[in-house]
Amino acid sequence: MNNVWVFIEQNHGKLQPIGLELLSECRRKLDASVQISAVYLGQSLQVKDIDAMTFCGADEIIYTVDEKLAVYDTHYYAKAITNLMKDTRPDVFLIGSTLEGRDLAPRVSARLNTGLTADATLLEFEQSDKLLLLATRPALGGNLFATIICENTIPQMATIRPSIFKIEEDKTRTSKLKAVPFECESESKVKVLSSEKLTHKKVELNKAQVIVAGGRGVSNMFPVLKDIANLIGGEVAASRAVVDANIEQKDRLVGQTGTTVHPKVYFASGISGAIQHISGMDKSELIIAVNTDPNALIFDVADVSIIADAKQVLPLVKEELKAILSYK
Amino acid sequence: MDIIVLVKQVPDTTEIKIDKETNTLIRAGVQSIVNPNDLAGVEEALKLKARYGGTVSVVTMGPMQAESMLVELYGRGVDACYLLSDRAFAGSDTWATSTILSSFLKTLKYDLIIAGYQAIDGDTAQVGPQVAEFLNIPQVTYLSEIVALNGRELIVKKRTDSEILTLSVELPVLVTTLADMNKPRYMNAWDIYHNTDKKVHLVTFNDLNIDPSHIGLKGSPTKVKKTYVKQVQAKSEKVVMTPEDAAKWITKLLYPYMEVKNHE
Repeated sequence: MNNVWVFIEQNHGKLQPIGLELLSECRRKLDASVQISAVYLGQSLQVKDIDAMTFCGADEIIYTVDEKLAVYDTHYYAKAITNLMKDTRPDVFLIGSTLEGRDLAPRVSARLNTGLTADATLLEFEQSDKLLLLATRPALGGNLFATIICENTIPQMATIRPSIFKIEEDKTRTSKLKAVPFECESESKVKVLSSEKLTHKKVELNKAQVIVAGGRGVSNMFPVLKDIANLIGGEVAASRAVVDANIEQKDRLVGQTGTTVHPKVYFASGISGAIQHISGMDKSELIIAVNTDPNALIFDVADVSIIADAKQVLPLVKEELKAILSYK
Repeated sequence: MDIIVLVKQVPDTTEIKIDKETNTLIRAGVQSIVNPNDLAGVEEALKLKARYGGTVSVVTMGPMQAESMLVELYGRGVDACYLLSDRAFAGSDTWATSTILSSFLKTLKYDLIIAGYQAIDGDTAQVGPQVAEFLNIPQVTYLSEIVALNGRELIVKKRTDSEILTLSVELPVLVTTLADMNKPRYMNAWDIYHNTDKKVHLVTFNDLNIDPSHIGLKGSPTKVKKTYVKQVQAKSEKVVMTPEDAAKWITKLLYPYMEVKNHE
């Protein structure tokens, strides 16, 4: 039977969404003849997490729990994974392209002497007597895409970018559990001396990667804009009209007389798009605009143009983001 | 402390364009640069040498044209530069590249190996950890700071998604660095003058003890099956939507960027 293993990342005992995203995507792309296994390492495994993995598509949950696996450590995790593959290797082994996944996956691929595709954004499978993984990744700044295969060694490994695939649960699914003891004779040479939590720092607008901006049309909605910005780790910006009305400070102003910004995402609500504003933000990588006026100039530069009432849309966006974040 | 820095010469990707007819890269006129993450590693190594003494060597694999990059690094004060270049190496994927690099590194003396977190032309972040595995030494990736050296213990800081960790790790170790860790120094007249005689050491297949079936295009476990260019999207059409649908769509668009901030 062909099989696919998915590494399930946890952070201080909390399942990270990427593992469930990968299970869901594999279940969608593969028929029932392929067994999908969730691979969990940690200090303990909770029933609700077993359920989550099962509902998202795992036929089997292979797990190793040990004190040494409580927090991620390259040495212990690579050892635990290769222990699981001592007798039989899966055809495919997928890991999230998170900081942890990108530390673990190359270490494991080198130990198993097999191929690894980095940071894929599309997964396809060819099923014959053999299961072939086709992993596609953006290259050179995202203009070019390359589809990578690994035909002669197993497991065919890939790291996959988070938040690409939708989590989909089917609560009628069942799975079997397989516990594997942790065996590691050597000690890790890396020791954690201390850790400090990252707190959300206020960044200067021109350095922000995500900007949530509002104009006259949402001048009473800035508390909601701030909530959305906090949820996604972005910054709030404003148009001239809002700053002139003393609703936001001058340091939040985008445009000719304010700051010129070039974030990865510029989400503009209720901004008509006067040229002086547009000249300060049109180099943003992705511009999402919501406005009730179909003739708003902002739509000329927007990548996503939505005609709707931003005052109604914003509270709903906030709720949607909160719902997704509760997975974390 | 003897330090080796792994560097790669890369095309300046901000200048790269794709020929829409042939789906290939237009390389003509594109400048080659030292991969920014690697350059920060060179700078870190030079700073450590100034603090604790020792040597800094640079190792790169690539075509002969990479020699000019190494000459430039001599001008920054590096002690020795090695260029691993051979037609047999061409087309190597990360596993094969790491096989070649580690087989050479085994012949050198080192306490610390610094590699850039990832190269801007590949973005894989794989060669560092794979080399560490082949050398059977620990790794610390995505380093934000080297704090101190206490005897045979290196104290470093590393960022995760939610924390900054202070770690101690026993030498020898491989670490990977980020471009914003250091501002690279300029070449200075003293180093340029005093290093003009220094030669780049060329290492070819015959100098190494590797199975030829493990390297190059043929020896690489991964293969590129196809490449294609993303269709250029016109600025979008205006869509009339209910607030509910609009909110769902916007959330879907915003969600992937939540990580960006966390990784800064």
